[in-house]
Amino acid sequence: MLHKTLNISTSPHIVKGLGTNDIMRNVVWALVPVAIYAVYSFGLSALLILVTSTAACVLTEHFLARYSKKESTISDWSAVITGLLLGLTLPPNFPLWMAFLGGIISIALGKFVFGGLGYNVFNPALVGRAFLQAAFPVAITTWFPVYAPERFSTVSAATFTLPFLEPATDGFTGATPLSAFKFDHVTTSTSDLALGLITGSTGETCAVLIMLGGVYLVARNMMNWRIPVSILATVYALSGLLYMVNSQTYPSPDFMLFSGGLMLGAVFMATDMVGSPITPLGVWIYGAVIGLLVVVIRIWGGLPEGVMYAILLGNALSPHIDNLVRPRVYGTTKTLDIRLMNKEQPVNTTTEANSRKMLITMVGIGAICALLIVLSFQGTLPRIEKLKAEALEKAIFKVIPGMVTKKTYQLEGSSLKEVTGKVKDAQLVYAGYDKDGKLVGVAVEASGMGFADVLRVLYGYDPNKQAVVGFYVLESKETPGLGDKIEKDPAFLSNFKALDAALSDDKNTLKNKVVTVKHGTKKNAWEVDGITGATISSRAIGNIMGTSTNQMVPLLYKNKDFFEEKSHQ
Amino acid sequence: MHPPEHKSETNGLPIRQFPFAPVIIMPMVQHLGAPSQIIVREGQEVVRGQLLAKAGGYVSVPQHAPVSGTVRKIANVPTISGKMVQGIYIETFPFSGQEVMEGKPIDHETATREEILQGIQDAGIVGLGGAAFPTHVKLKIPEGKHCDTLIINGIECEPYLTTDHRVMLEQADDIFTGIRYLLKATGAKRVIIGIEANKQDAADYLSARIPKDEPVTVQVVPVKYPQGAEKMLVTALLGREVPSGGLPIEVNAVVVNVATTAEIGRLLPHGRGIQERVITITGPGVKKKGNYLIPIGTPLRYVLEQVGADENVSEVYMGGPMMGVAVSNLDISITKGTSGIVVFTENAITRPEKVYPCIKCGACVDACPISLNPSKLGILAKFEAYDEMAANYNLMDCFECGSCSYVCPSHIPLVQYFRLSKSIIKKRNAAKPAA
Repeated sequence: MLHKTLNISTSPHIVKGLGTNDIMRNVVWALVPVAIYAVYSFGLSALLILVTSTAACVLTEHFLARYSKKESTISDWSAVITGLLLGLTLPPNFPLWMAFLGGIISIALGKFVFGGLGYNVFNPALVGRAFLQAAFPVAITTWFPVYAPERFSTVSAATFTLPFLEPATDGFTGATPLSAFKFDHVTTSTSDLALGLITGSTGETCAVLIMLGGVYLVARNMMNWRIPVSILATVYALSGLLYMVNSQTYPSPDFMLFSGGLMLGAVFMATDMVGSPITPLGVWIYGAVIGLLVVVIRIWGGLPEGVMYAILLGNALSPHIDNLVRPRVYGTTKTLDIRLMNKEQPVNTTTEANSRKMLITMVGIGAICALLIVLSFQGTLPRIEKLKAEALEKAIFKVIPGMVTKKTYQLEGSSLKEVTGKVKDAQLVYAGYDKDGKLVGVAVEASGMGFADVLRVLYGYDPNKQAVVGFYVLESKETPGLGDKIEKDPAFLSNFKALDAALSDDKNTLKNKVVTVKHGTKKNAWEVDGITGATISSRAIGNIMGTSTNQMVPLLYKNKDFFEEKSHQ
Repeated sequence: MHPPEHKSETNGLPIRQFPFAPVIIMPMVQHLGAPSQIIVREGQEVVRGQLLAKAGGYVSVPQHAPVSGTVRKIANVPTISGKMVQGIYIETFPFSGQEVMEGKPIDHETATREEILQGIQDAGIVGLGGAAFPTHVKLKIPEGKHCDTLIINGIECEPYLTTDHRVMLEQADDIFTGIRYLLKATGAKRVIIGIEANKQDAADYLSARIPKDEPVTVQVVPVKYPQGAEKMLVTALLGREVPSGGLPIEVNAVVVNVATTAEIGRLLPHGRGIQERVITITGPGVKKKGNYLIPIGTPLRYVLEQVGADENVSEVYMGGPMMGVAVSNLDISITKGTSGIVVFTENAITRPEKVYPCIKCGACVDACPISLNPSKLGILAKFEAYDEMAANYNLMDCFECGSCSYVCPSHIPLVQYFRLSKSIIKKRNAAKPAA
């Protein structure tokens, strides 16, 4: 032994032994229950999504390393986390090719271009998801029912959509608890939210399992518990405050906490070590910023969910937070080294000065923008409502040909009640009468998800003709030149001049459901002839009309006599 | 932070006298400061305890013969840093009784402060905790400062090492005698012996033996690496923070290692110099683990032969595994600063080779005892931004405890980066003309 060559190392000669790959692997373990529940609640489609996104990430990681002639880095498990997280944030019936593309983008654009693990600014999974949100806004908001009975035997028709073809729409749109609240003011019970008895993205639904995973990681000292705590506390406090101010308009704090992707985001994505601050105080600030942004986007923004953008913005800020809020170094006098306005501090380097400028600018711009959004939203609200009411008034006369006077009724169960003036949050129908007081039609509002955003339409139904007699698009953000043909195309609009809405013999359902067919294939009176070039939009109209007429027409027909009587009062 | 202690393997083993090696190698640099100046010549016979070299200046100490024997050669000898320095080879008399030469005793009651400091220097005493800084320099209270509390450091927070633990259990009388000298030298009004909670037996033992007329208290502090670092200990015991760049005297405290204290108490009454010290020899690669009283200058190879080292020995550290230095050459010898020898076999080394990128997990920030940001410093070091590290990230406050490297899940050699960066900055500053 005494002639052996000794190994030389630098101190410390011992290490704690916990490796980066161990941390990453344990994050994967913590995600496994969430993934299992996702597969249990959404079935085969969810399984395929998770497998696809994970495979895409791991393969991309491997091939990019090979391409850049580096040692493959898939053994550090970080690509698996990215893939799983991406899959968990997508709808369960998301087309697989899109998920695969998202995985490639996550790793290539989210991580590799920055220099790989440790150098990325943003959470890679969220970069991928942001890309998918921008590229496929419909597919990413087409949800799938939870606990569908046939979920283990069949997959969603959209799952196997071929690349660049439009997915079959068998999901239902715009009905996650968050969008239900945002657009229709319907709340979901907190216990349903916590236990995941709701629809939503693949892995976002069961808050309890997500928290369990978080507790495991915190217990193993592999996650900074301050981040989720500070995010959730901020969201709870802010939304609680708003709820106290006005419980009618604002959702309850419990609802805010357990709905959407907040739990998954706060526990598994905001805590991504690479993108979060490192200083003890910085971590709290980071969480608070994300929490604030989540509330602002959800309540005042145009989207139902804001967790993704909130975390991405938080990621962008975190190096600057670290630069500015430093813990006091032992033996130095400053109580806390906050380097925002301190002029005496020797700023002989650029990073700090840049961070300071950057932070002031970003916070300034952010605050101004937030203020402008809130102000213009609140300031224009009355006028928007007034204009909306006027537009509605005009539209009613348009969709019921020959009407002279109008009466408004509120639907309560299956009976009607005449109302005057403004009524909030109620399904209203508008009856139109001719100059002799004879009922010529009933106007009904309907809405649903279009290509870009929610579509709101108004249509007139004539109980005497048992047909839809008029149609008008109240609100649409469809693509100009393509999707907006649903508002203007005369051929398309002529569909609704006499669209068959005859009732079946028991008078409880429609004989034939209204449906959009491919352009030029309309054969029956209840079909809507689609528009080439605006397929999704025109199909969406068909869906909206189909759903609404199916529900409303039997009701309206039953109350035909009621309308007639009312006209003479 | 709390690395596994591994102290139970040796903390129950009493200190044993180590045999005298046939050849002793005395490097003239065993302490911080100027090298000692040799005053013997080749062929001269020396008696154990006889002066071999005198101090090379104020920040320097003399050296004494650890054995009776013949000066065989004066030549360059290897040291742990890899540098060759001037040294003395002594051939031990095989049949000598190894009696120690007596010197001029110093009485703590009659001697003046200056006489005690001179006596400490003459005894060749340096910090035995590992830094090997000349003790008389440390005890010299600068003009305008005063010392109200003397802290005796019995923390020994390095894993594996039990040197100080055994000294406290076996040399209580020497420690309390040493304290009398130190009280006089510093003018302190009280003494606190700081001991980590994992050595409760030593704390109890010392508490029971405090002489009635000595203002000594024993204080037990939580087990926490690096509790034994001077600054950390001052804060733990007194609640005072040593200012950045300053010494404990800035907050009216002086810290002395407990083994150094015992050495002062043992040597000064006889006017002797250091000839031996207590060393823990342990680690997975050692057969006869234990705490040994080993003559200074004993070649490391001889030490390992005597205790029996494993065949698969792979790494040998002088000092503990956290701050100790890896040995590249077994021909170096035991010096005054050697507090332990830890031997690791190949399969006992769990340190992974693979270095991952920094994932900014913040483990190092949590572990740093003085709240630096090692992650940021590590990145700056990679970009060679040394000036920024010092100016904006307090690099020079780092005392290289190694906590950041120990916890780093990506196994980045952070503290090594900082050692290099600090030495580069020091070199640059030295090269600058004094403004």
